[in-house]
Amino acid sequence: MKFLALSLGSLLVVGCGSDKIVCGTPPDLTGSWSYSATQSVPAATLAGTLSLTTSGGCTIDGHLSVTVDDGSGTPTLLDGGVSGVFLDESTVDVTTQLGGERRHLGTIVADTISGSWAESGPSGKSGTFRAVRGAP
Amino acid sequence: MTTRRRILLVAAVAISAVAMAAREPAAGGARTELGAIAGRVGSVVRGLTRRASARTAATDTTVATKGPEAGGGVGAAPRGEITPAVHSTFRRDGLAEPRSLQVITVPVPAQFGAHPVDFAVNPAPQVDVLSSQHGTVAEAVPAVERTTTIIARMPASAPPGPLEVAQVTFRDGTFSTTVSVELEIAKITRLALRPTRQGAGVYPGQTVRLGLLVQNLGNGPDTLRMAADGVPGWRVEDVPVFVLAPGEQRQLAFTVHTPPPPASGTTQILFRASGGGVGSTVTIPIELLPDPSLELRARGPVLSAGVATAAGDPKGSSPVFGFQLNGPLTSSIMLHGRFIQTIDRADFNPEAMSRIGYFADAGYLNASGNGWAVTAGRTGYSFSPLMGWNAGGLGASADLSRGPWSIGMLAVQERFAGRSGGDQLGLKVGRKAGRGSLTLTTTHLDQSLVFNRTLDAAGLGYSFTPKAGMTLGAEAGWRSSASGQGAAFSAQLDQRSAHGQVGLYAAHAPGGSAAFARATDELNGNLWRQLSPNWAVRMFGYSTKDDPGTGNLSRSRGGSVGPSLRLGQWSSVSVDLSSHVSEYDANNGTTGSGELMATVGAQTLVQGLNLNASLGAGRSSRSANLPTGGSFDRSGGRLSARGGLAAYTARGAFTLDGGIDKSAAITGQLATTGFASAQASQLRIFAGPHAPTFDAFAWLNMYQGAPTGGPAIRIGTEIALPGQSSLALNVERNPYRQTVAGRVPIVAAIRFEHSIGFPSFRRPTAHGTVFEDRNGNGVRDADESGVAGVLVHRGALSVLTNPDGGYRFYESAAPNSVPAVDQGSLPMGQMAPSVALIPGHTTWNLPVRRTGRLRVQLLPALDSVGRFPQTRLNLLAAVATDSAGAAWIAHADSTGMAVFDALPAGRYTVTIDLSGSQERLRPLQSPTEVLITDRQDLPIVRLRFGFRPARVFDGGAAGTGGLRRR
Repeated sequence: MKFLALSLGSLLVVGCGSDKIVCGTPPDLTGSWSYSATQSVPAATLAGTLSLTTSGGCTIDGHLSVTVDDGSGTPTLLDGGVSGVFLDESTVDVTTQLGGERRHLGTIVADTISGSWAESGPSGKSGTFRAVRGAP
Repeated sequence: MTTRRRILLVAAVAISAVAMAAREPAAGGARTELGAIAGRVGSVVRGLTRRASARTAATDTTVATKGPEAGGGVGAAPRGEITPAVHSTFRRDGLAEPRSLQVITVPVPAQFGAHPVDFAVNPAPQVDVLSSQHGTVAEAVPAVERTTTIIARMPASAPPGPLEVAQVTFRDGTFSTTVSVELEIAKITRLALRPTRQGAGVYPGQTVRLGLLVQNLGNGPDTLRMAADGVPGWRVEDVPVFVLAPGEQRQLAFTVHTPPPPASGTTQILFRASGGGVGSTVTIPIELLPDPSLELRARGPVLSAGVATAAGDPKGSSPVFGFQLNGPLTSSIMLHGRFIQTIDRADFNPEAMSRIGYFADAGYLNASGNGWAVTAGRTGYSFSPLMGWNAGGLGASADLSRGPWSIGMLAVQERFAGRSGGDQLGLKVGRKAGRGSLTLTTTHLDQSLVFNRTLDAAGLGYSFTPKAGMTLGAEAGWRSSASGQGAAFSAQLDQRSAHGQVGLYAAHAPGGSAAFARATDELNGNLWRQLSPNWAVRMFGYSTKDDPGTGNLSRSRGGSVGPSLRLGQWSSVSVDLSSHVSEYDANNGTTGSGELMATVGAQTLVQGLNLNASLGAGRSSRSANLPTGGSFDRSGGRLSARGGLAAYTARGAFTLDGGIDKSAAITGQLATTGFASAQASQLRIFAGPHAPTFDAFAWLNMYQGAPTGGPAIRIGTEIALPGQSSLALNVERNPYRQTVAGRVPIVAAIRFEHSIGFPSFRRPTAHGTVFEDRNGNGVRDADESGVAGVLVHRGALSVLTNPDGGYRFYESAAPNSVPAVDQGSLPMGQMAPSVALIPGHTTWNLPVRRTGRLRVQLLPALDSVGRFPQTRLNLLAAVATDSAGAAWIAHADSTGMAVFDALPAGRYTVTIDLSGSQERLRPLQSPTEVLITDRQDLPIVRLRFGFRPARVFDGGAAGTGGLRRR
């Protein structure tokens, strides 16, 4: 048990590094976005609202609420937290917590963010997404 | 001394003298009739005399120790002159229990010197003296104490403290002394507890009243406490403390609240009675039967038609109609279907309607039987990871099996949001051969509405079971799709035993997820092994790669391993070390995620609460690379804590969960996320079998950027209305769905539904009525009513009778199984005679008869020559013969009491069975006729018995001995 405690502590301490993110001058994404996406396996569409705030110069936080429609007539409601990092002035890496962790790599063009997403782990879920500024 | 007492005293002395003279041995040793009569008369008169002398005794002395000096201390007196009676007391040392047999040695008072002394024992009321009640103590031998011995049984109801057992009168020609013999009765605390019925059946969620009879079998008053052991989900109402007098019996009723559906099975409720340092327990089994709503479906298909709407949201106010069909069409065909029709599709609110079970675009009808199932409407099929996974649409699917052959098929068209897409066709044919099974599959699958996926495939699979618990399988074929084509294969191993499980799977499917596979390449394995009764280890690993041909390539790999240790029946701890890595190559860049965690978890059950908690720590990493050259690669610590509890009570099931995760913000993750939730299921706020239950759920997510407005709350209920109607209401306040204006919506979904039960084409396999058979003829007559709430068994199946006493079984059972009333579910005093098997019979009316209690006291009696039976009374029995000639037998206890606890109503002839005795005995009276009526305790029937008449036979000439029989 001591070994386990030491291992847990070591993992935590070693991992708790601190470094500043450099991203140039990213656009302000604060606000409400209309979110839509497709999912490959099983085939489904996702539609909902993405709310974003800029918590730091190169990071964003927020909330995503979507309805998953796989055509079976039984819609699934998902919502969770959103966090993101600007990789440069026009690319953002957004992570959403919708049961599993989904990474969105989006390109920002004017009031639209679009790109692809994939869920971490063995589920194999992936797809494309598009977010347009403004309420759905 | 009054004149009357003087006369009594003189008469007693005179008659005793005559009796003693008569008991002198006569010629041949026989006693004369005169002696016997005189003895009996003398006994009566001695009793009168004792009472008289007790009041007139010149000296009263109590002697607490045994010894020759015990007595009144009266000096010797010349023989031939009777002195006035002396009264003294002898108390034996030690304690005696009620009902016990006591041997008491009573010293002869010293004043009798060494002369022979006659004695007469006069038992106290309720004391049975088993030893000789009169006799003579022989002449004294020097240095030997002279005594007479009394063997007596103590009264069952003797209170604690001193008890006079008998009075012994010693006398010779000169003196007469009466000694009061006493014992100290011990304080006894003893309880008897028994149920008024041996068990009960009830539907889950209802209450049942159980009766208990508690009796104080001790010889003093006792303060009693009743309690029932707690069972999770059950509640037994308390009974106050009460006092029972000695021998007092009281009937108590306990109300037991059962857990709501879907609870089922038999639960033992243990009741405890305690008082005076002793206790008694009794266990009553209660069987929870299937819910009545499920029973309704058992009769025939039930169509539920309803209308629903949503309120509180701009969308969803237009009505939505729903139809559901469930139940057996015949004994071998089960129907199950659903169809939802909107009036205004654009105004349909799928989120609100899903909360009350109304799902649009998902209508289907399923019919199934033994070895087949067909679905029409919205349906789907998963052939295999190689031949097509998650295919579905609007059309039909079927599974059929007959003998060694099996067929699976799908014919649907893709349908999504009212649009039609590609066709999907598939056929799978299998055949069992020995311990293996061969499968041929061909598919043509096409979807284009949401995600472009196509597949044309054909393959051959083989599954083999080399030994019990082990399966080896493989499949190979050809896949062709827009995302790739080529040979495909898979292999798998699955082995299971009581001590472990091993699974391995590997597959290659060109085209990957864009061609109806889970991934292009898969390799995964899992292992679980029970190392000892308390130790187990579990691990799994996976590696997948998916190339759907769109330029987006995903890879993931990982695994976990950890032991678990069981600390007791309800407690365990576990450790989990896990690692996961995911990479995703998209057109606009590459992302990677990694996590390494160590987690310790524990769970236990305390006071009916299921508790669980876990704590994990580790690190996570995130990376990204852009085609433009931008990159990101960072890692940080991660901490995770979770906890929860669950309780299952008569009021409902309750769970609380919470957790918090800390991550390094530098990785792009939320620095802190937390959640808390509380849930109540099948919450019973109101009492009564038809009272609605509620489901409530509240949850709160906490993180930077989370919506404000408090927790989300959802409350739902379904209220049963008269006439098979119901009203469902579900209200949700959800800040995570708040409007652009920041308003937190409260959206209600309402559904009214009415169910119609169709006549069944299904015949009950057994049915009938449980009825009160008042005349005991076994046939239900017009005036004999049904008995409700009785448990009827047929094989392993059970049902409760309805208010009319009717019952039905629809399931098939063994040919020789006959429905039978559970005797334990009948109140005390009722019985259900078994019913004879009639082959092919499906209607069984089951009689229940009320019974009466009959007590018969067997009494040994002196015969005319003074012989008294010595046979132990518990070797004898009473026989009650009913009007049909059937005999009921009850064996007597040691006191000669034979009890028939439950005799069906009717006329009986009661006789005594003396066959257990080796003495030559006979009844001394004619058989007694009794009429047993419902639940009525009759007066005790007394049956006397004694020796057969003596026949003295002189065998012939004097000196040859002769023969004497009796």
